[in-house]
Amino acid sequence: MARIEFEDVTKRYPDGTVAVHDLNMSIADGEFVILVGPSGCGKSTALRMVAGLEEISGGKLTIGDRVVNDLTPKERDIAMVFQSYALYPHMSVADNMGFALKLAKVDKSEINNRVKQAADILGLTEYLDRKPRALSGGQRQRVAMGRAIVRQPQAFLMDEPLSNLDAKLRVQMRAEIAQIQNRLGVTTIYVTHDQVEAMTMGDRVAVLKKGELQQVDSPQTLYDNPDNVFVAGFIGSPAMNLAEGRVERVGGRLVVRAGSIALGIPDGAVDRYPRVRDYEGRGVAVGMRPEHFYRPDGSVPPDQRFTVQVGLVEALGSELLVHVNTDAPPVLTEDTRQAIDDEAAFAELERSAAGGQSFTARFDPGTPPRVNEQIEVAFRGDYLHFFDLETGAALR
Amino acid sequence: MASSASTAPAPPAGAVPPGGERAKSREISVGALARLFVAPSIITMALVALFPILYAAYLSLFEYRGRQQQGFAGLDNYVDVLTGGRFWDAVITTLIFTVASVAFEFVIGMGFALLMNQAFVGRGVTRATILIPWVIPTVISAQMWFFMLNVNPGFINNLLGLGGFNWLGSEPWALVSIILADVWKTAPFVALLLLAGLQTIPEDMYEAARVDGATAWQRFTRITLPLLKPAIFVALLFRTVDSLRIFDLPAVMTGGSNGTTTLSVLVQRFIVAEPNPGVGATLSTLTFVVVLGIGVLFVGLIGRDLVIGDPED
Ligand SMILES: Nc1ncnc2c1ncn2[C@@H]1O[C@H](COP(=O)(O)OP(=O)(O)O)[C@@H](O)[C@H]1O
Ligand SMILES: [Mg+2]
Repeated sequence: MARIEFEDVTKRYPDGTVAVHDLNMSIADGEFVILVGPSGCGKSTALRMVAGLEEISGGKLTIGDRVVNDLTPKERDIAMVFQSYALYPHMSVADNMGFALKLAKVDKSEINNRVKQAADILGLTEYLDRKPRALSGGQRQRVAMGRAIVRQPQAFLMDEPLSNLDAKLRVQMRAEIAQIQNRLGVTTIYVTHDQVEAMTMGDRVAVLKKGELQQVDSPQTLYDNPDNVFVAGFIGSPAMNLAEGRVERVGGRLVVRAGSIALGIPDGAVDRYPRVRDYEGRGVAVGMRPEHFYRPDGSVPPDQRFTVQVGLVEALGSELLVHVNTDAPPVLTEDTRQAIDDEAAFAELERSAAGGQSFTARFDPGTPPRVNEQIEVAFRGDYLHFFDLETGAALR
Repeated sequence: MASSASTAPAPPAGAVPPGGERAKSREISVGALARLFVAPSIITMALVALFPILYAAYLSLFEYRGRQQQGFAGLDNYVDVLTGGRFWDAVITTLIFTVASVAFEFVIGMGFALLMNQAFVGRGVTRATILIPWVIPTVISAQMWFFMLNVNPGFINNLLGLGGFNWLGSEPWALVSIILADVWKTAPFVALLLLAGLQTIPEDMYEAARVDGATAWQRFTRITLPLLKPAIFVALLFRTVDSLRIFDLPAVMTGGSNGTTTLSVLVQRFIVAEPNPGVGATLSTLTFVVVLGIGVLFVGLIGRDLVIGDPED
C-alpha cells in the first residue's frame, strides 16, 4: 500500500491531443479517491498513466516513495480492474485470479490460499473452476475484482468497473466495492462518470474537465461548496439549476433577479459567498439545488418565493420532482456545456434560452401539482450559490 | 399454406383451432425440416466430391492394359502398389514435403502476422503486398523459381556466388527447392489467416496481462497462443491437407525427378504417362485415405473441442 502523488502530470497523445494537463493531486495511503467527469475528460488516461499503460508526457508520478514515470506496469505493482473486465477467456476463474501470482512465481499453495480467500470475500467459491463465459455479468465483475484483490498490490485502479452492469447490480456492487476497499485499506483510484458512484463511494472526489482538475474534496464539500460552475452543475442529481441573474440592492437588502424571479440574498448566503457584495449591479450565475425548493405556506416572506407554471411532474414515491417553467435565462458558458455532457440537451437549452428555462424542484411527497398549474415555490435563500459569469469561479 | 394441405390431411373444417393443431397434423419435425433444407447442398456435394471418390475406388478394382480394361482384378492392384517401393517412396517424399513446408510456413506466417498486427506506418500497403506471392498462379511462380534456380546462368547461383550448383538436379536439393517455393507462396496466406485470428484478441487482454506482470514472451505464450488456437488449427489443417496433395510445383520444377515424386505426381504418372488407370485409381484412392486419415487425426488431436465444441459450453 502506498500514497500516490501527481505533480504537474501531463499526457499529450501523438496526435497532439492533450488529454491530461498539469494534474496535481496527492492521494494518501489507503485513501479511496474517485476520478469523475464527463466522458472524454481524461479520466481513463490519468488512470492508465498510473498503471503504466500510457507513457507520461510530462511531470512526475510517485507511487509509494518511487518515481514511477519510467517503470513498467510490472514494476509498479498495481492492480487494475477494466471496464470490460478483460478476463482471460481460456482460463478458469481460479487461474484468472491467480495469474499474476503465478507469473510472480509465488508458491502454488500460497496462490491457492489467496485465491480461496478472495473468492470467499466475493462469493465466488463455487465458480472457481468455471470459465468466464459461463458466468453472469455480475460474477465476471467479481472475478475482475478478485484478480485485483489476490495481488495485494500497492494500489487498486478501477476504470468504470460497474458501467456494464444493470442498475440493480450496480447499486449492490457499489456498496460492496466500497466495503472491500475499506476492509483491505488499499489505496484506490476509481474512475467513473456516474456521479452517484462518485458521491457515495470514496473518501474524496476529484472532478476533471477537459484534462484539468477542477476540484478535489470530500463529496459533501463538493456538494456544499463547489469551486466553480462546472463542479456545481456536475455534482448533484438532479443537477443544480443554474441561471443568469443580476445582483441588486433593494431597500438596503441584496436581491438576485433572474428573469421575473427575484430572491432576497440572506446573510447566510453572503457569508458563504462574500464576494457577491462586489457584484452589486452586475450579472452573476446563480445556482439553486432542486432539494432546496419547498412549497411555501402563508408565513414565507414574499422575497423568498415566486410563482411558476408546472411543466412536468415525476412522482417517485419517496420524493416529488417537479419541472417548472421559468423565464430565467440559462447560463450558456462552455462550462455548462461540459457539465451537461449531452449535445442534444444543450442545444435544447440554447434554443429555449430566450424564453427562459425549466427548473427542477424536489419536494417531499404529497399531493402532486397538476401539469400547467400555476404554483407558488419558495427557495431556502441560505443555500443560494453564486459564480462569476465569465470565469465560472465561485464568488468566495 | 397451400402446400400444407397437400402434405398432410386437412383437419375437419372448424373442428380444431388451426394454429394449435397445424404443427402436429403436418408431421414434419424441426429436425426433418432442417435435413430437408440442407439436402440440396448434400446432394450437390455428393455429386461433385463423393462420386469421383467412389468411382476411383471402383476403377481401382480392375486390371488395365494401356487404356483397355481387362477385367475385374479384385485387390490385386492394391497388393501390387502396397508391396512395391514407388508408393512408399512417394508417401515419404510427400510427408517430408508436408511437414517441412507447413512448419516453415507456420513460423514465418506467425512472424508476419504478429508484425502486421502492430500499428505502424504503411501497414495497409504491407498487408496488400504480402499477398502477391499467393495471388500468382502456382504454375507461373513454379516456372519463375525454375528459372531462378537454373544452373548457368542462374539468378540464385549468381546471387549467392554458388557457381554451377545444381539445385533441381540433385537430391535432396530438388525437394528443398520445392519446399522453398511452397513456403514463399503460402507463408503470406498463413499470415493472413493468423492475422484474422490475432485481430479478434482484444487489446485490453494484453493490457491486463501487462498489469499482471507478464513479459512480452509470456503474453505471447499465455495469452496470444491459447486465444489463437482456433485460427492456428484452421491454418494448419488447411495447409497440411493442401500440402499432402502437392502436384504443380514438382510437376513444373522437376517433373518428379530427383526425389520429388509426391503422391499426386505418381498418380498423374500412372493415369497419363504410363498409362495404367487401374493402378492410378488405386493410388488415388490410397492418397485419399492418407489425406482423410491425417485430417481425422488432426481433428482428433488438436481440434476436437474446436469442431465439436467445448464440453463446458
Ligand atoms: N490513443 C489516443 N490517441 C489520441 N487521443 C486519445 C487517445 N486516447 C484518448 N484520447 C483522447 O484523450 C481524451 C481523453 O480520453 P479518455 O482519457 O479516454 O477520457 P475518459 O476516460 O474521461 O472518457 C479524449 O479527448 C480522447 O479522445
Ligand atoms: Mg474512459
